[in-house]
Amino acid sequence: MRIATLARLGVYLALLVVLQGAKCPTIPTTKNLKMTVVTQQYVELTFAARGSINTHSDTDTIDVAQLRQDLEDAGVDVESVDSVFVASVLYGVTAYNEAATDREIVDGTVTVSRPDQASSATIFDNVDQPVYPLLGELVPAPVELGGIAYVNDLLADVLQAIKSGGSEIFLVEADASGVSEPQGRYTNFDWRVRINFHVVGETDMEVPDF
Amino acid sequence: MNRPIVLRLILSGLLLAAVSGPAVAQLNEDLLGLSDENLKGYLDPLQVGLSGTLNSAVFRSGFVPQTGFEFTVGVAAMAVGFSSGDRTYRPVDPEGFTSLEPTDVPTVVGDPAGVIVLGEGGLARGYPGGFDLEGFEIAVPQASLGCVLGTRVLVRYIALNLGDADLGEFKYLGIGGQHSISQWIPSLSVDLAVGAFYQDFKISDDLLHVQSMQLNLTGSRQIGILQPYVGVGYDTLTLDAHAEDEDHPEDAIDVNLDRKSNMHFTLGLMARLSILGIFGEYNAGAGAGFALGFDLGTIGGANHANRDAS
Repeated sequence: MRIATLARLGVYLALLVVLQGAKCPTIPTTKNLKMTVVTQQYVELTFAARGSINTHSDTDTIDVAQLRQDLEDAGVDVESVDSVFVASVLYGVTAYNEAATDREIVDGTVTVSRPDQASSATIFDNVDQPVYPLLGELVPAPVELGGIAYVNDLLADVLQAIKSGGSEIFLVEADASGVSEPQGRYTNFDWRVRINFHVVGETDMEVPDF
Repeated sequence: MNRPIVLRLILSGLLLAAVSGPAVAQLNEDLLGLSDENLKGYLDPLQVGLSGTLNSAVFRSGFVPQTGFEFTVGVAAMAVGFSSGDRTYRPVDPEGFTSLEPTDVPTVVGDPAGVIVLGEGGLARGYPGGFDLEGFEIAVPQASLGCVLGTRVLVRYIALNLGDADLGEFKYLGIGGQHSISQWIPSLSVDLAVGAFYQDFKISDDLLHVQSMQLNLTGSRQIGILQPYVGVGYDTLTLDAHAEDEDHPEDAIDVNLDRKSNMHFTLGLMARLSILGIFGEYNAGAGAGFALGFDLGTIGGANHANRDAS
C-alpha cells in the first residue's frame, strides 16, 4: 500500500511536469535570430547563329529596382545585403534548326562589357563544342578569372545601387565569336549564356525554441 | 521568383511550430542556390528529427489483452536532440565549380551565419544559414482500439488547413497495431507484443511527403499501478519534396532524401490510474530523446489480471 501511494505521488508529480513545464512540449516558444540567406539571380544573353556570320552580340539588363523588390519579397533585409558575386556561368542551345546534327563551334569565345564603360573582359574562350548535344541543356563554361572579376565589379556597383535606394538599370553586353563547322553550310541555331549570381544577406527569423 | 518550398518543408518538419510567414518565403529562396545533392545535405537533420520523434511513444506496453474492450485517446509529445555533427555538412561542388578548399557549411539546424565558399576562376557560392535548433519536438494525438485475438489497432491522425494559402493542407496519418506474443507463451514472466506502425504526412499534396515505418518488439510488466517497458525496433523514414517554379520550370525542385533506417531502443514507464495513463520514455533511435504523454480510456485487462494473480 505504501509503495502504491508513493507511486501515485510520483505519477501526479510527473503530470505536473508535463502540464506546467516552462517549455510546454505541445506549445513551443519562439526565438528571433538573424539568418544568412542566399538568393540566386541571373542574367541571360541569347544569340542567334545564322548563315556564315559567326560573331554575335546581345545585351541583358540588371534592373536594380526589380532586384530589390525580389529581395524584399523573399524577406531579405536589403540593408543587410553584403555580397553579390558570380556563382556560375552556364551555356546551352535553345533551338537547333539544321537537318544535320554535326554542327560544331570551334574556338568559341564570349566577352562581356558594360556599354557605359569602355572596358571589356573575356569570360570564357577556346571552347570547342558540338552544338546539337547541348540542345535544351545548360552546361558549365570554363570561366576566365579576369572575366569573372569584371562581372563581380559590375555586381559591386549593383550592390551599391541596391543599398542606396537607386533604380538604375545596368546593361550587360556580351559578344560571342567562334568558327562554325562545317563551314560552307548554313548555320542555324540559337544559344544562350547564363551568368548566375548569388546575393547574400540576412533576414530576421522567428523560429521555434526547443 | 515564385518558388514555394523549403521553409514549408521546415515548417512541416517542425510540425507547424510557430514559424513566421516571411520565413517561409525566405528559406524557399535560399535553396535556389543549392544543388539537389546539397539540398539533401542541408535538410538531412530533418530526417533525424522526424524519425526520432515520429517513431517514439507509439508502443508503450507489451500487454495486449486477448479479448475485452479497449479504447484510449491521448497525446504524445516527443523530443530529440541534435548532435554537433548534425549542424554542418560538407557540400559537394556542383558541376563547373571547384572549391579552393573543403569547407563545412550549416545545415537547416545549424548556425544562422551562412558561409561563402570560394572557387577556382574567381567563382564563389553562398550557402545559407540554419535555424540554430538544438532539438526537435512534436506532439501528436494517438488512439488505440481493441482487443480481438490479442490484437489492438493504433491510430494517429491530424488534418488541418494551414490557413496561409501558400501552405495549403496538412495531413498526417499513422496506423498500425500490436499483437500479443505472450498469449502464445504462457510461461513468459513479462508481457510481450510485436507491433508495426506506418506514418504518412503531406503538405500541399506532394510539396512535402514523409513516410515512416516502424517494426517493434515491446516487453513490459505490471507492478502495481506502474508498468516499466522496454522496446527494440527498426525504423525507416523517407522524405520527398517537390515544387515547381511556374516561371522557370527547369528550376523545379524534386528532392528524394535517401531512406533513413536505424535500430530503435526504448526504455519507459507507464502509470495508470483508473482511466488516466501517464507515461515517460527514453528513446535511442535516429536521435536520442524523450517522450512524455498521457491517455484516457479503458483497457480490457482480464488476461493481465490473471497473469498478475498467477
